[in-house]
Amino acid sequence: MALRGVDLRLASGEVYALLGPNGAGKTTLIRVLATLEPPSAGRVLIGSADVCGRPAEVRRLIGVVLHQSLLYGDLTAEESLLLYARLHDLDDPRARVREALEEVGLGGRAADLVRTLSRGMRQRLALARAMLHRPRVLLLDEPFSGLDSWGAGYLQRVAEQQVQAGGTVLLTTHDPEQALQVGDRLGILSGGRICLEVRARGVEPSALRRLYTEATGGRCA
Amino acid sequence: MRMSAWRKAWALVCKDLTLEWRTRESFAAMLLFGVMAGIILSLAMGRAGGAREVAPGALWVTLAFAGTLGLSCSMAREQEDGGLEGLMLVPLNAGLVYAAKAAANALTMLGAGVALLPCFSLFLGVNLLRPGLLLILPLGTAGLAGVGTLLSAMVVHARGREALLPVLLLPVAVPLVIGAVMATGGVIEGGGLSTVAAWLRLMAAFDLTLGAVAYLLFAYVMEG
Repeated sequence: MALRGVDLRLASGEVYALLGPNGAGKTTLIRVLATLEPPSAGRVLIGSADVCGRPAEVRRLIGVVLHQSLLYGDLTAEESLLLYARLHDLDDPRARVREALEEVGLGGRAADLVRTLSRGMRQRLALARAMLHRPRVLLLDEPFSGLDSWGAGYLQRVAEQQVQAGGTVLLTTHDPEQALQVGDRLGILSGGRICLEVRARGVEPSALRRLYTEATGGRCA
Repeated sequence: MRMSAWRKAWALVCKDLTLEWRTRESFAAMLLFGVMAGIILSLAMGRAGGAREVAPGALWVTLAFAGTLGLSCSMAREQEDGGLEGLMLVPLNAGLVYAAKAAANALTMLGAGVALLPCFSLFLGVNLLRPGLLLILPLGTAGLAGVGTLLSAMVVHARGREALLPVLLLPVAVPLVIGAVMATGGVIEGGGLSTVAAWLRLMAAFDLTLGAVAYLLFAYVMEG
């Protein structure tokens, strides 16, 4: 069992950064919230929709970035997003896809096959896919991995815009400094439990590192 | 089905056909296997004679095995970079994903089957280019793709899935293959479609029944 007694409430307009070492259960938690894995016990609600009882409703509310890009390597960047735009039943999918590609700085690579894009570009494209239907809740599993400084800055802007629009962001990371930069609230997950929660405001990176080391029993960030 | 569901299904079929057109993985695997099987069969039966009697069985057994190769390629493509998982994050009926995938697989298999007809005619010395096969071939490939899509999704995470798929698919597809062989044999003998109507009905019933079962079960397979 990867998670044990996780009790987590996220508010609208909040960015929650979940820190934890490898194997702590971060990805499992994201997958449960994203309706990809059912919880073995307990209840998970997104808004008022239960992830087990009303998964379709939950999927309308969430945008998800996982370790894998969830995109087909032999479709172009534009075709990949168009597929998702159509599956989400968006009005004028082509216009929305063009806009999304511009937002992530891939407007000039629209006709390129996904497999020819760099790791960072694919991560940006995955972000564009997750944001396509303007979800209320963003679930981002290690979203900074592979991103260059432009991409990391863009991700930070996305989180800010999401907060301004009253949405919610839950992201996971290994890096306490990244968590402090983006998160309003930080949680440390270790051994399947959230063993510490702090408000990001006013916390020094060194203090967070110390807390992290204590909470995870010295397992490296 | 509502209009938007049709549009979504069409988008999924186009996605699969575009991927197949770009890579030609499934089609090439099926065609190569089919041609090789045809050559081996022609060499094996060259002296024995009786190709006319054996041709329908040879064609459909080859198509069934070639189909499992194509289905494995098609489902493996869904696994790379989590394409199928991405579809699970969209508010989409899993049955729709199944129907679209099965339709794309059936079209690819049909394309390979059409390409193999002249090859088998040449190798076995039996004219398989008969109008009646225009109905038999789609019915047969639709059934193989319909069941095979569900089974390939079931075994996609399993070790040795390439070996597992034919072991699971072929016993289930026995009624379909028998129907296809008998109907093809009847058409080769010069009878019209009316003479093999019972076999065609069997194939259509197989396609509809197993297709409906697979449509309903696909959600459980995707979640599993």
